[in-house]
This record gives sequence, structure tokens and C-alpha cells, in this order.
Amino acid sequence: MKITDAGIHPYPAGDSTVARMALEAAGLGFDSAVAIGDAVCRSSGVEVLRGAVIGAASVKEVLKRVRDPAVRRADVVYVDAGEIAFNRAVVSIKEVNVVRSIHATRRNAFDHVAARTAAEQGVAVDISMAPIVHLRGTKRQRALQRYADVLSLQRRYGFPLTISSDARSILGQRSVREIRGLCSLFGMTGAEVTEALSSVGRIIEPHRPVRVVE
Amino acid sequence: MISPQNVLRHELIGLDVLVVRASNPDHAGVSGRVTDETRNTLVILTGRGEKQIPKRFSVFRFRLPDGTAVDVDGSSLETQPERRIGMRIR
Repeated sequence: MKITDAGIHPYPAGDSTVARMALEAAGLGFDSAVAIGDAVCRSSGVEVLRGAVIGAASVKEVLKRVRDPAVRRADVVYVDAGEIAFNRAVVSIKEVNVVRSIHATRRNAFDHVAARTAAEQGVAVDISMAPIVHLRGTKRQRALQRYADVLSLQRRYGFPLTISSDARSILGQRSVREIRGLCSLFGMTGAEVTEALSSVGRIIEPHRPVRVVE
Repeated sequence: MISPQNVLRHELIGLDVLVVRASNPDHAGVSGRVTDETRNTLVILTGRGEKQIPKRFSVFRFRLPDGTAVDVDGSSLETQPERRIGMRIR
């Protein structure tokens, strides 16, 4: 069970190099991390996966961008969440692995229909620690409320969750223990946090229709 | 002889099965013996009667005659049973 930070932003998007952030992640208890951007890290304490984010205004644009060579090379494909109809359509796209930035959407933007489809397709919803750490006041409360809503849908429909630090430097990275504490603010249990931290490994593993259990 | 390698192409009627995961939460945990199969469903005889479970988005755990248990993605079984025999497994 690999504990993975589902999103870090190394240089040039951030301030620290991918090697330095990978080393920091190893020290904080992670087994792997998803680096968003073109960063490649060959030697470090953790495995570094390649992530690609699609921020699009329409589903048509998402369908066009998933065919991009840079997105095809990525190990994990993220799409920024939007309105209700957009989210419902995006979770049914085969190439999409994770829906992120759910904290910035409206109250019912990710609803029970999108939740059921996400569970069927194996698409995860990303919980970012950045809004909880950096925001204050009503914006922070709104983000926590969104996460609580997503968590209650996840408990009912069973779609995967991922957890990302969204760190742009080593100062933004948090340890597994700290993430557990932050996630408890919106009602996530320790076991659920562990499950969410191991989701990325399950998302990217190749599809095997038959698996020997015992 | 049925094995984990050929289970996708084998006859499933008569095997003991447990529905590990299903899109409908009420179907998860259903266990019994497969009595019939259609293109999109499996009919399972349980202690409380027959239940028809859709194959799509379900995971079935079959107990093979040699005692091995295999989890099979239902979406991979979604063909007519008579055509599944000749199917090429990738």
C-alpha cells in the first residue's frame, strides 16, 4: 500500500526542485508523489509520478486536451472541477483519473449523479490541503464544507478520494500525521485518510479483469 | 479444467459466487450459486431465492472447483455466454 502525495508543484511552477521535494516527501512518510508539470526525477527516496492538469471551460475542450501527447505521457490525469453538468460529463471520460479543485466549486457542483458515475468509472476526487492551510475565514469554512459534502457522498457511493498537499515548495509539504489532523477537521477518520493516500497506486495500476484472491 | 487463466471463457453456471462490489449497494454481499447467465446479468440462487445481478460495474468472487477464489470484473464478462467461449482474452 503506497502512501502518495497526489499533487506537488516543483520548479518551474514552484520554488523547489522535484528532487528536493521528493527528498522532503520521503522524510515526511510518503512512498511516492505526483509531480504536476514536466518535472522528471530519477533518483530520490520516493517514486515520482507524472501528473497533468486539464483546466478547461467545456467538456469538448477536455476531450481535445486528453489527446494531447503531454497528457497521454502523464501517469495521472487531473481535471479541474466546474459546474454540475461539466463534472457529471467529465467523470465519465475514460482518460480522466482525478477531479480536483472541488473546494472552489458551488455547493452541489459535485452531486450524487457525478458521485455514482465516478464510483462506476473509478475516477477519484482530490482533497487538497492547500485551502485548509493557507485560507482564512469564510473561504476556509466554505472549503471545509465542500470537503465534508464530498466525504458524505464518498461514504455513500464509494468513489476513491486522493489527498494532495498542492505544495509549491518544501515549506508547503505536510507529513502524513499532519494530513490526518487536517482531514479530521471535516470529519475524515484515520482509516479513510490512509485509504485516500493509497488511492493513487490503485488508480494507475493496469486493469486486470481476473485476480486470484486465495 | 477451469482455472484463473481461462475463467473468463469458461461456463460459470454451477459455480459458487460472492458479489464483492456492485453499483447497487444492495447487491454487494449477495452469495450463492450461479444458476443462469444472460448477456448482462448473472442469476444467483441464494438462501432467500434467486437474485439477478448486473455484470457491469460489479466484481464477482468465484470459488473454482480446486478451491481457488478469483475476483472477476463483471464488465469483462459482459457478452452472451455462448460467445464468451470463443473470446480472445487480452
